[in-house]
Amino acid sequence: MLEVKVGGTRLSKDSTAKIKPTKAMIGSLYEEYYDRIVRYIFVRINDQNEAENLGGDVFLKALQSLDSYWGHSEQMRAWLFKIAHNLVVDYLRRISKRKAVSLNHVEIRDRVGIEEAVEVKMKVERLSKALKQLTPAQREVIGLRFFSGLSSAEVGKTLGKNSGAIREMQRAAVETLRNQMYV
Amino acid sequence: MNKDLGALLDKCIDRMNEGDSLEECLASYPEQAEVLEPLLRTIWDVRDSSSLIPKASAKSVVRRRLDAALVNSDRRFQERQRRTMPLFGWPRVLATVAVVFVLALIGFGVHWMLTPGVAPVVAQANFRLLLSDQENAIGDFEKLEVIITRIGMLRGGDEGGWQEITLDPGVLLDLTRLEGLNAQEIWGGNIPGGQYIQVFIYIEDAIGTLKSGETVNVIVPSGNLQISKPFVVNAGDSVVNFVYDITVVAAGNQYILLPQIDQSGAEQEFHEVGEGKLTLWIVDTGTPVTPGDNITVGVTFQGNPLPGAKVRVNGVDVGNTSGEAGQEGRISFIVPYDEKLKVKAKITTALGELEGDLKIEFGDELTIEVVEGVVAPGQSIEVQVTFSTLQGITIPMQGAQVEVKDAGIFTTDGDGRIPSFIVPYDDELKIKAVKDELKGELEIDLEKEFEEAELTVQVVEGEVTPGESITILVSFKENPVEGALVKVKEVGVFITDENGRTLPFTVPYDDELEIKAVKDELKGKLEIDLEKEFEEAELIIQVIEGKVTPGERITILISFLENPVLDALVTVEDVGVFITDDDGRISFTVPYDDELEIEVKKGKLKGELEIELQEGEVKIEPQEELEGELNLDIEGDIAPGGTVTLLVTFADEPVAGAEVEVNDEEIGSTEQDGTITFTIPGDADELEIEVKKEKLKGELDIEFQGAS
Repeated sequence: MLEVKVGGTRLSKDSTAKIKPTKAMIGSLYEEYYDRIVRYIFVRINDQNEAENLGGDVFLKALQSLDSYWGHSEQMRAWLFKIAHNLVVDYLRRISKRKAVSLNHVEIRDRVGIEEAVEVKMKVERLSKALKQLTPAQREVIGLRFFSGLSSAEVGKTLGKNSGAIREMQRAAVETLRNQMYV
Repeated sequence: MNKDLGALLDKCIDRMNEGDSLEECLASYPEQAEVLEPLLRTIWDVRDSSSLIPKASAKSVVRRRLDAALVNSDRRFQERQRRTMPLFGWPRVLATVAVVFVLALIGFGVHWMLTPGVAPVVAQANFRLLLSDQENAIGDFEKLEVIITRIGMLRGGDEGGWQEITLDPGVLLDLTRLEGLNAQEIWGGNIPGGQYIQVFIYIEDAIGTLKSGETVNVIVPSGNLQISKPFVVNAGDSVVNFVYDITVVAAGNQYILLPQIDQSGAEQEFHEVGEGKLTLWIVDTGTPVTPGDNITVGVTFQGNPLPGAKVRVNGVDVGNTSGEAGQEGRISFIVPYDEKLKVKAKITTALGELEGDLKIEFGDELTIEVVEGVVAPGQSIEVQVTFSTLQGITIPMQGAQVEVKDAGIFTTDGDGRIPSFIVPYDDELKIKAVKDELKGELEIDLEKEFEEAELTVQVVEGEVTPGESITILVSFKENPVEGALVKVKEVGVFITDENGRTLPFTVPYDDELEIKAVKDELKGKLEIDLEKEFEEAELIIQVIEGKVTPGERITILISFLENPVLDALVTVEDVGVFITDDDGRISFTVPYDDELEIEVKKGKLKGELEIELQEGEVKIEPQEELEGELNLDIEGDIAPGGTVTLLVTFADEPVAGAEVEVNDEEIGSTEQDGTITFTIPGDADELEIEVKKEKLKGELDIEFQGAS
């Protein structure tokens, strides 16, 4: 259970009291969420290296924004993903004026063993290719549902849609991925 | 089915998010397992493939970035704490002076070239040490000079140890020059690369002159100040600027110098004080500076406030620094909405022209976010414009001009928001925001939605039956579309109102109803097949006024499914062609024939009516307009006992059925050709003929000459 100390009072993760996060908590959040956030970003932007960079930016941004955050401890996950969402939006806006992302950007450099590296690369490339067939909104939903752990209702709230619409987008996205990944 | 599948899939994703396996999910829904299985396996594979991301090397790099940022933020965090909390162990009023030293070092790998006791030339230095203090802390002093004669850095690790440097001559610094972020170098040079865990400075003497003129000795406990604040000096060209922060504390009649660990370190912000350079610093507002803030900048020279310095902010003159007591050397202005704040101060003195500057980079991009509503054409959304500085502060951008393509131009309110607007019916949403030099753009691609999307055209009022009045609703994604062009075949064109509705119109008499709707790039269509109704249906013709008798004026009604049919084409044989009025009616006079034949056409609908007119029923019943005198013509042997034929006409037309009296005796009625033949009484001395047909009358008197 994540505990945070605020003004000498120790609060548990499931406390309903609002808290101000501390810098120490950013480190814990990084350990817990960095991988998931990078995957979420990857699904959105389809570029592994950029996803890894932006994933780091999420925590730096969170660190810079500590003063502006004041909420329940369990909402911090949503807060981080909201930061990630904003960074992705900025990123996509920037690259829309530059160029399309190439599959060559998928790099698995630090895996051991050439066979394993090739297999890993193929898997990620296959996923990357399939993701290209999704709409931006579908990618967003898949990213949030698969990696943030948010429920459909929470995703709906984040994206301003009702949960029914999220479920439908999710179903359509999964069917598209299925068709793309197994051809 | 899709809806159910979507819900099941959703539940399974929730369960997989909580750790359930694919098989466990499938086991819960055996009946749907066949359909669910490939989808869940897809999800599983997506997750599995994604688990390969990120790379371990990337995580390592990010972790280092984060650690560095955590260290960097520590100073700001503790600075805020210090402003808001009493200094532990000292009364708040005494916690007044902070001094910062800065060490500057450059790592050079394995070659240790430091020469103790000799101040090095620092052309290639990897480490610098500087000194500063806080503006309010030094306020009691006119001057506070310290002499630093030795510094030392404790290097960690197996090869570690104290690296001491003797400063000969010692470095004399006046702490009153080093207010706020001002800092002055104590030493710069090369030290071995590696992790350092402690820094000390040896202060041989500290003498202060109070503003009252009194000279006081400032106590330095143990003669040196030590700080445990780790930092790393890397091999290479990078310079580590170590800020050593000390605090002057008043305790009774004494002043004591103490290290201030929370503001010391290698990542501290500072403004270096030079010998002939003006120093600019921002008078602390408690929060980081952002565009739009009203801030005060202090200008000092060699630690002294400098009135009369000319100040330019982002290239614009804002005036001279104040000379007023309490505000000496200061100037206030609004921070421009620009990517940076660049303040320059200049003054010409006996020393020549002195300059100084201060620069803060904010970043230049406004952020535009949709904060309310769903981004889809026709949907109402609200956007907010914010500005996030590089310092991590986010502010709502008030007064920004926001241009939404095809929707209008708006100005943000105090929360950075603009009034809600309808997403245009286009394949992208483009929003631009500008506030002075700051700009932002948001482009959302809606093309995909457009490819598959179309307007929905529905009948919302009335029955879809020819002649019935109906109203059409045009919507997009369940939202009414205002201003859509609706074309109804054989009816006309309508524009939808704010509720997405057309005016009511009558379903045309056709075997299908075809409606097309267009709104910008979106289209929709509604076709309703009415053929079946047409196969069995025909127009009804009814006589609703008058007798169906030749010469009688009658009114007929044309209807379809009990609705009157206007503008129907009615052909009455031997009479003419008529168009029904708004009530579906026409009027005409029944022709003098043995049957009445009527045909009606309206669109593809038809109707017929045939009425046989029996001879006995044939009567001439003149209408009002036929009032007048019958014309009587007689031919034959016009003499007593003679046989004559009387022809009765009206308006040159023969009048059948007219009653004829001869000499006050009824003799019969005229035939179809308007004639009647009779014999004049033999004893008649005159022939008096009276003919009547309703209101028509005619008389003829003939006197026989010679008759007595």
